[in-house]
Amino acid sequence: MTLVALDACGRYTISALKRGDAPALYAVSDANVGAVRSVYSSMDRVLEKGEIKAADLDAIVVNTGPGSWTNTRVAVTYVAGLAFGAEAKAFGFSGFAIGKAFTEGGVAFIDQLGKTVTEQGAPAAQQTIELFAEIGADDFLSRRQAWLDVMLRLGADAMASGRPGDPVELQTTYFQEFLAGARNKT
Amino acid sequence: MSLVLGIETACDDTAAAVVDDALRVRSSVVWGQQQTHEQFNGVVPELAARRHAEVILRVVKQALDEAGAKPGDLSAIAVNNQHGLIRSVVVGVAAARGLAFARGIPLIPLHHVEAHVFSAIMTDPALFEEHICLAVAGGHNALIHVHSVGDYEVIGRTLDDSAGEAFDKVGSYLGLPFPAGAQVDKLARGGNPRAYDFPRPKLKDGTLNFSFSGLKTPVRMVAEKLQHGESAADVAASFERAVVDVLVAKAIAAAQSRDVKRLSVVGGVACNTLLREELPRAGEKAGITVTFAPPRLCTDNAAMIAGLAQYKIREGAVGALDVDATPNAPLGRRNANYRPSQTT
Repeated sequence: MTLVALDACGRYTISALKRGDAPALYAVSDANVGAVRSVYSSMDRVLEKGEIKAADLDAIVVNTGPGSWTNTRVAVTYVAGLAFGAEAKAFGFSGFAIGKAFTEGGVAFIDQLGKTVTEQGAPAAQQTIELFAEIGADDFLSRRQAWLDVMLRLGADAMASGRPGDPVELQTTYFQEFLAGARNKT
Repeated sequence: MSLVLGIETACDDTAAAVVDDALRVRSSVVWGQQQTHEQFNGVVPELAARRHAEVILRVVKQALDEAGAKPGDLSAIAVNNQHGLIRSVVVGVAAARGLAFARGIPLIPLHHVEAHVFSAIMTDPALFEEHICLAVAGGHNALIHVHSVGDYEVIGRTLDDSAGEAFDKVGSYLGLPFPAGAQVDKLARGGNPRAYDFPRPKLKDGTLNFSFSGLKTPVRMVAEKLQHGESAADVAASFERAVVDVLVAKAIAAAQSRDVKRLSVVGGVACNTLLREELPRAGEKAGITVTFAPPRLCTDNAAMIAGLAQYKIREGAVGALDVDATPNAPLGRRNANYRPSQTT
């Protein structure tokens, strides 16, 4: 089974490739290249490292948020298009769902505005992840490799359990209501 | 048979279409967001982007299904990456790039306004020759000297609002639901176009530029008095007459200034009933043949994207996968907005 995990919720887009029992491979985008290039450069690099084509993928796992709205939306749309074209499955997991598998007690996130984003109704998170830490790309990736491993594992579990993974149904998850309190301009 | 899938997400319509190499539209699906934006009397960019992301793959799948095609049948993907709301455009580009990369087929990046220009050419081959194009919609308002497909000279543009934007705003003053352009048109049919003498901005300034911002205020002032008995239909008809007078005069002047005998009209406002009556009449007097894009290709759609891509492929374009969203790209001379390169 060949899986890719993609996470564009933070300062860089990171990805991981797992093929059978071989060790996972990882890649990170460049900084400040815009949402679209950030997403596809990370994905392209990890596939290139594994010397495989998109058509070889069985499934793609993507973090559906919280995080940068635009980057996350682009990542989810890109994965949906890629999986649809490659006839692969696509699985989306929120950062909170990944966090629960990552560490007992779950995680909270610090967004680009420095605000702490927690899962509504959940007990206090055991760990906080700073999505936009001002660090270099390689440091960012090395801090998040274990996170990507969890995403790959969730994808493998979803495959094993027979989840449909229809790319057409893949959706971004929003944890803040954009228009909360917005003035109706009429 | 070569099939191209076009994707278009410039503003608040999510569109996908399949066009073959004879420029036949095999399918054209447009998913509008009017209900999302109606309460705001305008498009909210973040909401537009969210709706695009929610439905883009469904729209693509429907376009393929209606064309009787599968992803493996496509020879290229085309996408507007050069005009529109950045948050909306990136969604289309992401979906298109993912599909093209997965299939290992070319991705053809295109300019939304160029595709509108091509929407008339698709239906009238005479327009492959030099002509003037009046491109008039909610997001753009320009007079373009089309030297050939891919070679454009913008010779007039709006200095503020587009005509389509003015139609939508006036519609809101008259209590019509957004987007109100078609509703104003419908309302105007029952009104007196001479009831109010609204200004014709820049009509006699000697340039080919437009300005519709200043027209809104007098219309609004009149619209606010409607409770005293004035007819909304009269306001709509008088406003429409003012806009059409300007569009017709400037379009004819543009053709005459370049000694060009053909004129095309594209974009959402090209559906307007009065414009469709008046411009051909003025063209006939001036010896200029006027062609309107068919209504199904006037509002935002992806058939014009896929059609333009088919033409460019025929002319040797090979596409590129290193594509980003650059929504303020100029529409320029000699393919300035399109650089064929090797598929990587």
